[in-house]
Amino acid sequence: MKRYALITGASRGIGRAIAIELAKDGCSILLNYKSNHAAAEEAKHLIEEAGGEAELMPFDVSQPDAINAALDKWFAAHPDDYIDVLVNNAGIVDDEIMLMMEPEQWHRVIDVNLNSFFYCTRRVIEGMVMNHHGRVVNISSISGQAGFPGQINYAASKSAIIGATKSLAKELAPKRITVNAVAPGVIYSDMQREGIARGIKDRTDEIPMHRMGKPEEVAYLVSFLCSNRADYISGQVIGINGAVL
Amino acid sequence: MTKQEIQEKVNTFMTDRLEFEPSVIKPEAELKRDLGMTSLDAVETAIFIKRTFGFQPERGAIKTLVTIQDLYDFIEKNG
Repeated sequence: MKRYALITGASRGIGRAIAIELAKDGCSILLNYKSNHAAAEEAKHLIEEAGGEAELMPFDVSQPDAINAALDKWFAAHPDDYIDVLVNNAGIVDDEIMLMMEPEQWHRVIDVNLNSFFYCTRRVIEGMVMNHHGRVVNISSISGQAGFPGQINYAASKSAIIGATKSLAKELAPKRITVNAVAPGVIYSDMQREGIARGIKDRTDEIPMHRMGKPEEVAYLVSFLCSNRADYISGQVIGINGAVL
Repeated sequence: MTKQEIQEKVNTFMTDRLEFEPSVIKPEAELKRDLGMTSLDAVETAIFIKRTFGFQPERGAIKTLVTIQDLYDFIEKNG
């Protein structure tokens, strides 16, 4: 039986690295992205080049109807399968100090980063419950642990993910489903590159290890959490930040 | 599906999937008090009913049932 893994926001950056790593672990990848079809195709190609398999699953994680439509379609085509691994990775930043932040900036980040967790997870864990096995990994952030100026929306969404992770882990533990959060620090990802290009301060000099993390390093951690070696790890927030926190 | 078939499928589900002790699976046994059925077990039961008997119980319907006999009757009535 194939082991399916859905990774949201997997066309680029950390999500792509996670998709590739889980494919190497033997998972059949459901590669979600919103609109960057070329990047998603490239990610799929990289997965296949690594000997894995992936199917593209485009939908906007901030739209509950779009999530349900895409997953309904997949479940209808796979009546005997379920999704054993869910990585809630899709996320955006829209930085501004609070006094300058528009309500739309607040709501959009909360919708994409937090509400997507609720809608995607609720739909996917049904199969895990029935099969008494599953892995949910939520990508939080050091911003949700420590807070950063200009990121009240992002930090709030990533902090809320931590609380939700801990609660859901307790709910699902009797069914042998683990739920964990990974909190990356500064990772040299597309999001980071684009931020620096927009003028956001490069904070590498504040990192005790004097370098940014790599998306692959986050992916190794997620891979471990999704393996059977991590059966007893649930409800945890694991930082990966070069000793910043 | 006959009453007996419904009972057999429900009983097998309860012992094999919900991992309740076979000795406590009796029609008069109370789902919460005697079997220790949780909210998550109730959700799993609803999914089991949908897949096995072809109808979707309304959200929360299972939690209103008291005994295993109530569950048999619920399936027979709605299936």
